[in-house]
Amino acid sequence: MDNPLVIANREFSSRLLIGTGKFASSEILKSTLESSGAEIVTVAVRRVDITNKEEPILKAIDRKKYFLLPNTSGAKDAKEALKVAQIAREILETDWVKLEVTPDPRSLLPDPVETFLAAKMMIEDGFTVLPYMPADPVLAKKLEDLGCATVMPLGSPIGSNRGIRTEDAIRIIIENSNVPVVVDAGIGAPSHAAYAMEIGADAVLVNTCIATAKDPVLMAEAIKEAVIAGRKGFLSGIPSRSVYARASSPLKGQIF
Amino acid sequence: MTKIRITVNDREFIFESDSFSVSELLSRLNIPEEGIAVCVNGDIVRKRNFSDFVIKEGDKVDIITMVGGG
Repeated sequence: MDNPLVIANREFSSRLLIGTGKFASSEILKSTLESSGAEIVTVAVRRVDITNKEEPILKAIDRKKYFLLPNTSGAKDAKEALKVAQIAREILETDWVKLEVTPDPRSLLPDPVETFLAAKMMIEDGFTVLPYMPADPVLAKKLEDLGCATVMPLGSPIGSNRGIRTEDAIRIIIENSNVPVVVDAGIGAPSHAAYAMEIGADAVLVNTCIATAKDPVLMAEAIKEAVIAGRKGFLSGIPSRSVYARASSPLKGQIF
Repeated sequence: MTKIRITVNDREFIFESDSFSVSELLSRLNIPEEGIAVCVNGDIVRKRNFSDFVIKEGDKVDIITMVGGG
């Protein structure tokens, strides 16, 4: 049987983390979270729209059922990320933070230097840090050594739905990591989620693929099952590959 | 009553008040104190200080909440 996912001494039974951006309505978000089976749910920190008050997302998410993980999206450097994390801590009363520093609005790729600096400042300030990071094994090790609770390498750019394009680097990260490896960003289909789990990721974080699917509730269920299937595949020990055929039927006793 | 001019989330507001606290600002803007954080000139005002912290002429206030995000 599988062990639970353990992040910073906290156990989670689901290995699927869900991002809550881009959902068409709070109702759809609510049913999607339900069908995903996820426990960890990310949220972002933004200014209140004073003129147009929407239903606050916190009302749509039952905090007894879901563990809210605020992100620092929008931060362009370490200082901004720390400020966002402190604001999130004030609002949610949580020390956990998904660290994101993405200075380039087109690629939204994480800045490795500022991510490292931010992680250091946040850990000193008492945060439990889950950094979104480039799929760089050296950086992953450095973030782990700093005391990050996980590493979260990207499969491909945020919202790109292009799947696991960084496989070789992610495999090295998984092999060397002593903290959970959560593949974050780029998962655009159930097969991508299954594949990340098959190669040994501890969990995946999915948002766009679910939120922008025609039927987000069904997609959440598909990704949930893909994560479970991929994990079981990994645990069962996937056999080696070969260029040539290896007969499945016996070679002995052939008629011709 | 004195008039104070402040900026809230990048919009300019003028309020009439002699001692204008964060709590009073939130109540005038009809924003509940739950689920938000307030920064004045970039510094976080702790929730327990909302009713004591006085906003002054020219202050830049940010009222922040959680939204959907990945």
